[in-house]
Amino acid sequence: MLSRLLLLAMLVTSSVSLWGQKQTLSGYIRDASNGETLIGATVFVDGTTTGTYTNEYGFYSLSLEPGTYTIVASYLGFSDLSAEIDLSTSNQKKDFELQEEGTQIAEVVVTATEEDKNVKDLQMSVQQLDMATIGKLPTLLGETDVIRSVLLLPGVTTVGEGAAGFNVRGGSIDQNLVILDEAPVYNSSHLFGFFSVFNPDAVKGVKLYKGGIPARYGGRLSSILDVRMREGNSKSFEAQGGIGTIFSRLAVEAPIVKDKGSFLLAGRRSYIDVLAAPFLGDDLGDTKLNFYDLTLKTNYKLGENDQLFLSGYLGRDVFGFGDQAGFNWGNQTATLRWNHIFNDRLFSNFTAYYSNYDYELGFGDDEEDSFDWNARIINYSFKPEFSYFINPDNVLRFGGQTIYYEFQPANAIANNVGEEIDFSLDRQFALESSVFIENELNVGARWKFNYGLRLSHFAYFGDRNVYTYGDAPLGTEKPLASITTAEKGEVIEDWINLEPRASLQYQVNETSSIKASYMRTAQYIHLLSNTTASVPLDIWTPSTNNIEPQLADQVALGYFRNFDNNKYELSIETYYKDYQNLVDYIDGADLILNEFVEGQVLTGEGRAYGIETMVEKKKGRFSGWVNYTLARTERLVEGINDNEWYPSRFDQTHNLNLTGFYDLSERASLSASFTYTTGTPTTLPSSGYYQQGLYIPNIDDNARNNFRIPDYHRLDLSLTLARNPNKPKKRLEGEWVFGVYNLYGRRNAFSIYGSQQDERVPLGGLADAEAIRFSVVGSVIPSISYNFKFK
Amino acid sequence: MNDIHKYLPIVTFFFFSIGVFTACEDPIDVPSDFEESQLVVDAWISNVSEPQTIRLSESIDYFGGGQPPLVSGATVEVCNDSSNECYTFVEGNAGEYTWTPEGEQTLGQVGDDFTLNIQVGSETYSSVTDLARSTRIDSIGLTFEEESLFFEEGFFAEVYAFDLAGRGDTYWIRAYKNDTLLNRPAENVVVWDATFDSGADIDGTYFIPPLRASINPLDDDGALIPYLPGDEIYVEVHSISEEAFRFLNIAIEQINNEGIFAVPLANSIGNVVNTATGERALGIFNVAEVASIRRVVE
Repeated sequence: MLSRLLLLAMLVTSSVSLWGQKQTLSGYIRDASNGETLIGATVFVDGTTTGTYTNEYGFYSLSLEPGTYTIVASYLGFSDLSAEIDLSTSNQKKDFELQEEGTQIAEVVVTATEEDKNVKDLQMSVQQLDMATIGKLPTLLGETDVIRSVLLLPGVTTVGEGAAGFNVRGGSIDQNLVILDEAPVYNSSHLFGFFSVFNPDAVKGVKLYKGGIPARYGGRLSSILDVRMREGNSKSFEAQGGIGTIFSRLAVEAPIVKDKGSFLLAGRRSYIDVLAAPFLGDDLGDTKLNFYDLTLKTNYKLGENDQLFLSGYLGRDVFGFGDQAGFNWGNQTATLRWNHIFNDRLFSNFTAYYSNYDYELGFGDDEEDSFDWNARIINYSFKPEFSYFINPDNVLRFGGQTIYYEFQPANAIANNVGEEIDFSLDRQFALESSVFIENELNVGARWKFNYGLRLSHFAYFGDRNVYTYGDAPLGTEKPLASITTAEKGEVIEDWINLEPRASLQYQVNETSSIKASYMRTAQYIHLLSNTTASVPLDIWTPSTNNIEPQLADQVALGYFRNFDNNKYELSIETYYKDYQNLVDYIDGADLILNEFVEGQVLTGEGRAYGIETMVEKKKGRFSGWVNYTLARTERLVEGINDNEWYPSRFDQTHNLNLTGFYDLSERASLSASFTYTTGTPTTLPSSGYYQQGLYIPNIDDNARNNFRIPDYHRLDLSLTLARNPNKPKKRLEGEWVFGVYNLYGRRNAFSIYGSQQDERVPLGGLADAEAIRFSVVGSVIPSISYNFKFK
Repeated sequence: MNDIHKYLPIVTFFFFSIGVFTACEDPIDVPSDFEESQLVVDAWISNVSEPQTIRLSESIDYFGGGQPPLVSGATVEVCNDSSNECYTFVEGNAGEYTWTPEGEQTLGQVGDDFTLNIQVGSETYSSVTDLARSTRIDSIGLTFEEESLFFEEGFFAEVYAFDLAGRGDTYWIRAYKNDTLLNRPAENVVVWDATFDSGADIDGTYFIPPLRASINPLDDDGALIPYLPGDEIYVEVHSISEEAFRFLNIAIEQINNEGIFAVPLANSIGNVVNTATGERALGIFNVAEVASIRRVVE
């Protein structure tokens, strides 16, 4: 470890000595039509390969030998823009505003540069989707869905339709850090798992890191899904919205002060309850069934070097039956960010966020019998980050983060025959702190490195009860040994982990490169869930004296190649991932409202490996991608499957996705996506026996996941009819989207299970049992939606 | 909390109406990996002064179904280790072994330890358990509900069973409507103190509402069927051992384990052990104290 640190120090200092002679060009790249910053846009010296990319805030910094240069800014789907920059005597600032292709004005010189990021960018195991692409994908009921679109990417799987979350390279759903403008979103689904909580009108794009995660990210084992919100139109007022099958949406955005600040406010609400109300009348009474979300983003430029961003999210699913029963859940996040440019080379961002996920359940309306229960996870975090652009070939990033967690596993009060019973569980408190340093370095024309180190620390502290457990036979509940009390602020247990990260790239030639990466990740908080699909009632727990932090190591190797002048991109990646301290559960575990839940947790290890291939065509009348993944993900848990390796519930051997977009005419475009995956494993009983009229299933060899459900395949189509571009522009423009989900109506299995028929069996009588194929979507689902834009 | 049953159909209706759930269930054929049958011991007996029956059979191919082979010719004996009395269970119908008390005779009282000994051919099996206390039952409450979109008119019943103070009492509620035991998969319920499981501290009080309401019969779709005037409700609360609680808790979870929120398949762990090999037979031995109450709906 020490030698690695020394190497880091040497590399950094050796580059520092080269500083003096250079001049720096820095600035932002934006979309000319609305002022939105463009993430990952390229800036390079015309006729050379010297250049850089804009960061998450659209900022770039390029240090060059003194001189005059023609600088070109480019971004996919936008026309290039070039400018003469005189760097002979001083540093310069230059912001570029790019025009979308097809709308450019005559004066701008257009050079068609195709993107070659696939080959030239060091980062591997990363997938990026911008909103334009996500918006074109055919979807369930026509609702554009950020999370479901991620499922079309290689290495990403799900246990089935309607299941919340996604699985990345063999990781469980809680191993993905889903962040919305830096703030974590703990439950990314509406209606259990059918729709994601992100309003497409407010999202700029998503980036999924599956491997080679840079040191600046941490906290989860398997992936980071970075969802970035749009800033809002800083040029003029704009409204957009739509009426879909599920949601009605409206978003408004406008400058606060033109070109200085803007805001975006977007809302969605399901409306079936409103439509159904007149037909159901009194029987519904005060029944509430809806889900909604509100997203706000504002930004303001305080000066040339300072910009403030404030984002907020509020979403909720509400089920209520008058005073009788109610159930609701949702996330809230708030993020305040301050970008400060110390000088042309030192960019900084300070983030403070708040995030909360909670649910509430209540029954009964009288003092005699009622029940109120809520649970939540609350975070407060502060995160300073610095990027030091030493020269175009050397960027140093460093920073840290501290997160304060409060877990409220259950605040529960019941009135039972007039008696009040408080059976709330103790709160849990934790502090997660980390620092990182990361160096991105290009050596010569062929080698690029990004190596770094993350040091993370997690402290679990009181005040609360501390439980210790004795030993138990494998796979059974551990007996309580003692209960002690920890004082307020007293550290019950803490951990420290070094998480080395490294990526390298070797440029074989102009059109191909080889990349490799290694990462260690540590995860200190865990979602307790033993159902196939996670339920909104599942609670998060910190690592405790009984639950160790989870760790993962991953290596990946990839070959990247572009064909036909960058029209086609090919990537082939292979990875191996090793997991430690995975969380599993005893049979019959009771994970909610359970004071002794830690005694029901088992610890295991895991491994995942596979090959992911993808061919993508990004531009042209016909575009799209094909990806194929061959993978395996396995678990080893003492007390499960006779202590032998078994495939995890989301193991899919083959996973094929074909996604295509075709412009039928200037107005009409057709999208299609086809998915094929191997059926996931499940467990079926071998024998059955009777006890008091119950027909009880038994797995004679204690096997887990011994059977595979049928393979899954599905074809979706959608047709978008946009404004006729030959007609004069109007202020209000609409588009129609016609979609069909599951075109050939296949009844894809979500699960197969054995079921005793629901009849009563007299003692000594017989029951019938059969295998049932359960399909969440059992037919073709058509949809129509209408979207509009007002400018 | 019992009212939630009434609202489930509305929720389902809504989901269907928004077209999200076109969910369906189809029976299919699956390959069987059943290899050999095992001894099954169905030994749920009580200290009530009435004939007590233990059933012996063998396990069968789960999906094949049919009549399990009955185990005849075994020797079955239950000993009360506290009073040092042993009771022989005599085979009547094939595989059914019964002990019939003389007069007011019972197997024992709360706190007694029991051993079950079974000899099948050359194999011997044994099991130990103790007789735990049951609840006090105060009454069966009836609430009249008018007809609405999803329910027929009638009475909803609740059993006011009171868990005695002290954590760790475990019970099985067995309800009868007009002499029919309510044992559809979803009608079975086990109780830990006054609630569902050990982790929530609800002790020394009446059973919480969903447990109290578990004595109402359900129809094929899981909706409540109200009681009508003339119906007789009979409820027993059996004390069960912690082992038997865990056994039934898993069994009930498994026979109701469907849909997208299913848990992994798991085996119920019995307490009857082959004395030579240490292997467990399927099924369990429990001696219950039974609290009961009867009410006719008027």
